[in-house]
Amino acid sequence: MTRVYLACDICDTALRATVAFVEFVAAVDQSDLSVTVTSANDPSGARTWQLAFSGRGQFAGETRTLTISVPTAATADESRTAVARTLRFGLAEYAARSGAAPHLDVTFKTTQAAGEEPVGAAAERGADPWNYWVFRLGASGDRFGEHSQSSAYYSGSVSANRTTEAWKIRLAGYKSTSSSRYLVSEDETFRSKEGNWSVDSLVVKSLGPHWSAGFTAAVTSSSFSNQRLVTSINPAVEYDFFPYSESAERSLTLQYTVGVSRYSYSQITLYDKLEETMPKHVLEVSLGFRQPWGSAGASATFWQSLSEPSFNRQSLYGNVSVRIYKGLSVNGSGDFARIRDQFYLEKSEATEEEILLRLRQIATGHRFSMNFGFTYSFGSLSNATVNPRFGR
Amino acid sequence: MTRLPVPIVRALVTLLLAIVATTAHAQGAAPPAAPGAAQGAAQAGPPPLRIFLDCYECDTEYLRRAVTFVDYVRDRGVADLHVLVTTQSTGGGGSAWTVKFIGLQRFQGLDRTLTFTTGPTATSDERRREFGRIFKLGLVAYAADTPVAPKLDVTFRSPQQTPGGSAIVRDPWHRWVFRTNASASMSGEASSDYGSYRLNFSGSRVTPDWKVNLSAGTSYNENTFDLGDGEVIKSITESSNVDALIVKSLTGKWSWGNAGSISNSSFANTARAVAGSTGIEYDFFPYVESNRRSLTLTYRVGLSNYKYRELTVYDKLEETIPNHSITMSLGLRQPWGSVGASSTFNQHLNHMDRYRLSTFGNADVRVFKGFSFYVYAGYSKIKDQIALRKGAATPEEILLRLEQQATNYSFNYSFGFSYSFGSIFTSIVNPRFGGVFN
Repeated sequence: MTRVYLACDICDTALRATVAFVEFVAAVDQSDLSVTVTSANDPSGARTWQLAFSGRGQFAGETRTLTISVPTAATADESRTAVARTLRFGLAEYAARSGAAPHLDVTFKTTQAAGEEPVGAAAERGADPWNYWVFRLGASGDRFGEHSQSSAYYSGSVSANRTTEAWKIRLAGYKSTSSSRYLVSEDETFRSKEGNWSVDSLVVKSLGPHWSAGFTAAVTSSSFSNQRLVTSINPAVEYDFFPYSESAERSLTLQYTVGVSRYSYSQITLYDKLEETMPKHVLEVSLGFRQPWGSAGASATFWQSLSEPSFNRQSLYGNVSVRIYKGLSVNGSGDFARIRDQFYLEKSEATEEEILLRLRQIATGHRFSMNFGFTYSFGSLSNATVNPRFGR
Repeated sequence: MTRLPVPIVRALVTLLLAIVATTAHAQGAAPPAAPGAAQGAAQAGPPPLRIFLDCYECDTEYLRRAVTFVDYVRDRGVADLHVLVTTQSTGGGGSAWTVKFIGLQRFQGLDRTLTFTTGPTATSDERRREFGRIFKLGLVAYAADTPVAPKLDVTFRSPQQTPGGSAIVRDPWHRWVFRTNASASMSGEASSDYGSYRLNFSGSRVTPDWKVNLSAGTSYNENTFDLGDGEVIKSITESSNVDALIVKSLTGKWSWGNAGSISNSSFANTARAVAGSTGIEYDFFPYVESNRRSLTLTYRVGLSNYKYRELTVYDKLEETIPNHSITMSLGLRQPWGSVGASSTFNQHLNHMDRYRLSTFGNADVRVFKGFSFYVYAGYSKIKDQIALRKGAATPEEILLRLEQQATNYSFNYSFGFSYSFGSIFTSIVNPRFGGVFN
C-alpha cells in the first residue's frame, strides 16, 4: 500500500478513517507521498480547502494541488465528507500503482431512470456551434509491384455524420478503383480493372428505448456485379428486445425494410435486360452478446423481390469467441446463403482470367464460408515480463 | 419484373419527404444539451474534462457508455487531457498496457503513467473492463474540479483474506508458457471452393535476462475453380516451419541472439531449408523505453542449407550458403503520432554479388487540428533469388501467385489522409440500425 504522510492541523482522525486504501505514516521520511491540507475563508463567504500532493521516492516529481470550496453554512460533517472525497481523488492515481490497485474503482452516480440513456458529462457541456455535425474527407492509395506483376488500388471518401440520442444521420460518398497487371509469358500481359462508387445515406429516428425508424437511400455502381447504376430507397423499422443503451453488452434486433431499386446494367443480363425496377422487402434478425465469458453474434436475413417473388435470398451468419476454461478458448464463424437473386448477372460467359482473379460475380445457388479455431495456453501465464530484444 | 406501380412510388416518396421534414425540424430545434444541468454543484467550476483518447486497442463505444463523467473529443487540440495507450506482449502471452495521461491546456505539465496487464486468455469484455477501471483511476484527480465531482467517488473493496496467501507464489512452470492453436477456414460457391488449414505450437520463456521462443507450424491452402466445359483448376500451396530464438540480455542496451530454423515452402521451391545464425543487437535507447521509442542496430552471421523441390535456374537441387545481414530499425510512438523505419542488407558470403537490400518506412501523423495522414513505403532490391524454378510457369501459376517469380525489385506503398471538422464531441453512442456489433 502507498504510505502517506498527511500534514493537516485541522484534520481529525475521522478523515483518515475514510481512506482505507493507503497506509498513513507518522513521518514524512517514511512516506511515498505527502499531503498538505490547508484552508482559508474566501471573500465570497465560502471556505476554500487546498490539498497539495507531493510524491517521494518512486513518485518523485509528481505533484498536484486540488482545491474545493465548501459553503460556510456546511456542517463539520459535510465539510469532512467533501474534503475526504477530494483526498481520495488525489490519492487514487498513486494507489493505482500500489498493491491496492486491483481492489480500487471509481463510481459515478448518475440520475438515470430505467431504460434511459445515462446522464454524464455530455449533459453538462455548453452549446455546440456545429450542432453535432462531423465532416470527414479521406483518400488512400496502395501500390505493389515487381517484374512480373503489379497492382494498384485507390479510394476516396467524404462523409457527414450527426449522432445524437434522438437522431442518427450518415451521409457518405465513396469511390474506388483497382487494377492489376500480370506478365503471363514473355510476350503476353494480362491487365484487369475494377471500380465501384456509391453515394448513400442513413437517417434513423429513435422512438423510445426499443424502437427506431429510418431509411437508407443510395446511388451505387459496381463493375464486379455488372451494375452500372443502382438507385434505391429503403424505409425500415427496427426493434431491439433489449434497451439500445445496453448495446455494448447485448442486443437482439428485428429489422423490416420495404424498398425499391432501379437498376441499369453495364452488359445485357441473363434475363435480357439492360435496366429494370425492382421493389423488395427484407427481414433481418440480429443478436449480439459481449459478456465476461466471451462474445457471440448471429443474424438471419430474408430478402425477396416483390415483383418477382422467385428472386430471393436467405442467409445465416454466426460468430462466437468463448473461453471454455482457463487457457482454452475457441472461436468460430460461419455464414451460409441460399442465392436466388442474381438477376443482374452478365449474360456472356466469364473468361478464365475473370474467374481465377475473381473479377466478376459468377452464377451460384449458394455461398458459404466457415472459420474455426482454438487456442490452448498453459504454463506460467501470469508472467508479466516484457522483453523486446531481437523482436518477436 | 414490371415497373413499380405509380401509387407505391407516390407512397414511398411521401414517406421519404415526411421523414426528411421531421429530421429538418429536429435539427432546427435547440441542441439536446441541457444548459444549466450542473444544478447542485455549489460553484461554477470548469466545464467537463475533455479527453482525447489515443488508443488502437480500446473499445471506445463501451468506454463512452461506461465512463461518462468526462467528455470525449475528436482532436488533441481541443482536449484537456491526451490519453495515449500502448500495449506490448508479456512473457505469459498476455498484454502489458501503458496508459499515459498527458496534461494539456490547464493541466500542462501534469503527466501521469499507469500500467496494468491482462492475461493471455482474457476475453474482450474482461480487457475493456480492466482498461475502463484503470482509465477511471487515472482520470479522477483531473476531474476533481469539474461539475461532476460531487457524484464521483473512489471505492475500495478490501481484499478477502485467503489463507496462506503470501506475496511470493512458486511457479512450477519456471516461466515457461506453451500455446497450441489450430484453425480452419473454408468458403465456396457453385463454381469455386477455397480451404485453408493451419496448426501451430509454441513454447516460450521470457525473463528480463533471457528470452527463449520456440515455435512450429504448418499450413495448407487449396483453391478449386470450375471453368466450365469440364475444365477444373486446382491449386495447392503448403509450407511448414520450426523456429527457435534464444536471446541473452547483456546490458540495458546490448543483447546477444541466436536463431535456428527448419522450413519448407511450395511457393519458394524449398523441400527443406535449414538455417542457423548468431548476432548482436544494440538499442540506442534503453530497451525499457521500447513502447515509446527504439532505435536498434542488429548484425547477424549464419549458414543456410537448401534442398529444392525442383531444379533451380542455377541447376541446383541442393546448396549451402553462408550469409550475413545488418538491420537498422526505428520505432517511435509519440503524442503527435507514430513513425517506424527499417532497413536490412542481407548478403551471401560465397557470392558477394548475391544480396538483397530492403527498406521500409511508415508514419501516421496528426499534422494539425483534424488532419492526419499515413504513409507506408517499402522497396527491395533483389539479387538473391537462387531458389527459382528453372521452367516457365503456367498462366494459372502466375495469376494465382502459386510460385515465386523472377524479379530484381519489389515495391509496395500506400498512403492516405483524413480530415475531419465540425463538432468536436464524440461522446454519444447511438447503436440504432447498426447490425451485429455495429
